[in-house]
Amino acid sequence: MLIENIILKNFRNYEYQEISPKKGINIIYGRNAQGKTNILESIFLSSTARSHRTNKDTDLIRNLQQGYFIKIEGKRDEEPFSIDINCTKITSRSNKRIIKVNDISLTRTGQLMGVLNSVMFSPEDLTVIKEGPSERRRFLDILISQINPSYFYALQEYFKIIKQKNALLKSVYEGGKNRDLIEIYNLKQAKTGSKIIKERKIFIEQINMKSKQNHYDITKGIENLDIRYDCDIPDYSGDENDFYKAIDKIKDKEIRVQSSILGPHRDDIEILLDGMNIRDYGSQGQQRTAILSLKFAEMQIIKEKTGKKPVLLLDDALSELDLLRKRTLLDKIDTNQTFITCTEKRKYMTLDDNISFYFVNKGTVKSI
Amino acid sequence: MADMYPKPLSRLIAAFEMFPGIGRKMASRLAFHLLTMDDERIQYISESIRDAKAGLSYCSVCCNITQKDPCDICSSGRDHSVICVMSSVKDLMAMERTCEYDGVYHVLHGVISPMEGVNPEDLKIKELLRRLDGNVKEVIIATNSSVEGEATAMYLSRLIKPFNIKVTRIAHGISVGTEIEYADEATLIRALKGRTAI
Repeated sequence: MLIENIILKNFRNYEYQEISPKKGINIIYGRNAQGKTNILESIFLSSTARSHRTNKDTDLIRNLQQGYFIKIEGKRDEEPFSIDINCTKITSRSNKRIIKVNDISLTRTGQLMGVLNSVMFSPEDLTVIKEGPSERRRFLDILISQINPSYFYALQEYFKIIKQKNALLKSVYEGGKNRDLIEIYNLKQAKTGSKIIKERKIFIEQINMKSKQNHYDITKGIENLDIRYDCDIPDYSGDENDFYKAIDKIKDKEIRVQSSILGPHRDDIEILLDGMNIRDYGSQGQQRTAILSLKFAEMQIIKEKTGKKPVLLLDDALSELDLLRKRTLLDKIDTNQTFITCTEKRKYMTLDDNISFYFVNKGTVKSI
Repeated sequence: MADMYPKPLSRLIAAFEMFPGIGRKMASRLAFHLLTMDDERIQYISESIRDAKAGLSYCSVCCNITQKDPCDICSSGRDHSVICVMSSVKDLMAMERTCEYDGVYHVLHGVISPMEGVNPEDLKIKELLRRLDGNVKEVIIATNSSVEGEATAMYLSRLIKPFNIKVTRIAHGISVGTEIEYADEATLIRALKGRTAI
């Protein structure tokens, strides 16, 4: 993957900006709050259709503007491609987004998956370890969706089913008489849900194998990292009938709490360091290293599955590592193009690859 | 804003706003356009509205919209042993345009959607079950492939099963004339799952 041109219009703090990144390492530097991360965010958004920082598209629109526009042009195996994202505000909360690939409008967001593969390392990554299960599911869902579009569709369908089912549970709780309808939604939930769990389990196994090795390398064999999928469904062998039986059993409880309380939307991923939950027992440094092992696994998997080297986005991610670790990590990276944000220019001068510098100041980018 | 208009005009604007998809701006545009039209046309429009409302009703058999009861399709010599269940009259018209289907219809007037407060009792399901006497051999469920359409189909099939009548679902997948190359993945997955032997 190679990005050759980026155009941002009314995106975050950019009014209009064109950037032409080069092959190799692109260092984007500048003081705090000038718009360095926003560039990386626009690339990640064009890759996954979502931001790594927010779930609200309207947050991405420049102040007082009605919409944003991103255009990314580049090459994928020497084949040129382009991605356009055009977002218009409808109300303060809702917006309309049109995504085009090679100038053709997509009918489904899922079609964007895999056009531009990227992996982002950012301070927000630590939330995968530190925050609740939803962050870990998000990490996993973004990864699998990039590789497997049918997973993305299953996920969309699953959330729609859950929304409908929750509305139904609420109306049954309030005295509605359609209790028998719950069965229908449970059947659909079990069917789509078990597809999602199956895919997640396969991926977790691969991530576990790779991140274990990565962690071994980085810590020189001192620490042992283990990642497991934690599915709450009792007696679940992977068969959708087991899933159905489990949610059928707790029907009354679900009506009482007016919510679907079992299924892949409630599952978690356990990250264990030497057998202990890293969230509770790991030190800051251990957590940081673990997340790097995990993210590297993500990159290796994307490369393996798509045969394309993903674009690497490093948002302030290596700033806290010493030079030796930094080098070992960058040596491990196998990519054609890397974007790094940092506050000073000299930091990465020691690397010998092709390096281009971009200076960011108050929403304008200058190639140095 | 509308308060500045003379009362009849603001009433007219409010009337247009009752239509789905029409907001205040479009409503006032329509209202002002109406004012420029000559009396004959106005008469024609108001009569059309009145006649449509007074002259049309639901068919007592299939719940299609009709001028006479039972409707043309139900009173024709078509195959009454096959009923195709549609979610809307618009869908029925689309099916009719095929000139391929010789059975009769049943219109539900919606799909089950708890989120929008649409429950089975809000649809013409009772009317459908009432029709399932010994003469009906097959019920084809032709709702959309959305989550709501699928849930409705599943709900109906469970209700109809005890009658010992064959329940079928229309196929979903690649539309005819579309090139596979351009079909999106979700559609292709659907098509693959619903493949048939040749």
